Amino acid sequence: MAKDISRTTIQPTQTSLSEESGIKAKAKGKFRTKEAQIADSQVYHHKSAKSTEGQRLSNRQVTPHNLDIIVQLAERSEWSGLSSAIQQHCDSLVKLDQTLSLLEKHSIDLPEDAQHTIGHHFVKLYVLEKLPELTKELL
Amino acid sequence: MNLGKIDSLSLIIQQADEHDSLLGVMSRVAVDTFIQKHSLTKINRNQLVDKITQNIHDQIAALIYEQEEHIKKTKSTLEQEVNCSRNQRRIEQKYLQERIKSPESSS
Repeated sequence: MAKDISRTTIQPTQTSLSEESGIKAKAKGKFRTKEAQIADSQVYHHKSAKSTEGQRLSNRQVTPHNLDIIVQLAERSEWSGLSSAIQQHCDSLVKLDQTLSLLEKHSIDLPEDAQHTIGHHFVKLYVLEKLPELTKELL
Repeated sequence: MNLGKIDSLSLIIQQADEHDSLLGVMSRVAVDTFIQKHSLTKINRNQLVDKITQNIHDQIAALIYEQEEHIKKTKSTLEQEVNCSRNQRRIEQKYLQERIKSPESSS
């Protein structure tokens, strides 16, 4: 499964994150410029992107494009942006697991702060998913 | 909701801070598996275990409280028993909160 979503080919029809944030990045399929890729990843450094409310999480999904950005952020050692991107796009334990496996595949060594943020995100997702299981048939 | 179901919910959070309690085992296994799988060696394991335990304890305690309110309305004789259970849970919640702040958890 992790292999499936790790494909980083960008679909031409896919909505760019830069469009969401108003940053004008020209996305042209796989021929995107490096500037456009960097502009995309900049959205995760914006203050508003650090929010992790449930609503925001539910509106986001991990797409190959998101994963591509996450790997780029890690390769450029932009840890704050990386943590923010993981929090926004990994809205389930499975997605978090897949994203971290992808980073491992790229031999990314996460620093302490990023690991700390990921750990707390794991707690949040774990409680969200396990609580309904625990109370199932008791409510 | 009947008393049996309230008891079952209470059992889930019983002795949550204990090493071999349901919540204790569940939280430790989850965190250890996650850390080992992704080699996240710099993560504060104890703190995450305590946070999961506290979070689930708080939420189940809130569910029990809600159900007890219904029970109290229908069976006023149970009011004292309900109050005792609530006091016990408050003590446990406070203890779990303090655990997270303690040096052992943050180390």
